[in-house]
Amino acid sequence: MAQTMETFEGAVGVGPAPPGSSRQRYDVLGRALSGLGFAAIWGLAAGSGAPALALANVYKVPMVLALSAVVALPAVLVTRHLLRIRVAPFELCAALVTSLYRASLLLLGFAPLLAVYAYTSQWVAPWLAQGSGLLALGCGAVALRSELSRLPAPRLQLLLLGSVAVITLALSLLQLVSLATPVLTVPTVFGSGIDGVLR
Amino acid sequence: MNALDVAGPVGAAGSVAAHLHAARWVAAGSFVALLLALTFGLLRAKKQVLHDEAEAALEADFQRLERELAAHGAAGPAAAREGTE
Repeated sequence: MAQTMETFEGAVGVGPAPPGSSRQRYDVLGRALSGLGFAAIWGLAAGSGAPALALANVYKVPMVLALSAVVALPAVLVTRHLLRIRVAPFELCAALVTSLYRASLLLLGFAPLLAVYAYTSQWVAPWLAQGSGLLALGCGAVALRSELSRLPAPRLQLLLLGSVAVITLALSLLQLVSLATPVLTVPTVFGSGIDGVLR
Repeated sequence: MNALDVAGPVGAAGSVAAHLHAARWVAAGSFVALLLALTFGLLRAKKQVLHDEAEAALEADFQRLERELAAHGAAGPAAAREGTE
């Protein structure tokens, strides 16, 4: 039935753009830049207790997000190659970018609340910031699983690929956060990277 | 005593601190380069999308004209006969 619908959509010229087309490339790049913009807004809100920190966060938080994706990407592509998943690298990148976009959308949703708390509470604001960050990470993982499940490949291999992507993303995020510290007004356990978490 | 004893945890921590400053600059440079690449990529993709849309519109116009011409061509001899009579 789905195949019939796809054939029909192809015949009448509607439905999703073919993979790698200029429209899809434009959408993916737009999502990547929008995601970075949303992360910058969250950073502004998280550091709004101190104006200098807020301004620095406009660049730091998107940097952490973008570089973690860049650092995780080679591991994801190598896993794809080793598992012999016949999916174009562009489609994998699109899935990764879409999941990060959805995670940053969640950060954007929390940003106003975080800004209010950053101005009014010294103790709850860092917890809220860390909680929203971890929630966004979880949301990104779920979104990545959902995006990968649409690809034409065996489910077990896609599950493995998704797990590798989430683990490498989380590990690179952790170390890049330590590189960008301070992001919040108080020091956190993530400020020292994996050494601080394991200590 | 082995090599790890000589380096020790203090030496390792000092090494990390010394490299942190350089790592921050590398990260900042990479991020700016990535941001520029994404922006230029987006602009190029937008240009391509506009080009494709214009081409599709032109193709649709051309096909419509072709259909109209065919319709006129079919009606043409009959209209010409009516005119002469």
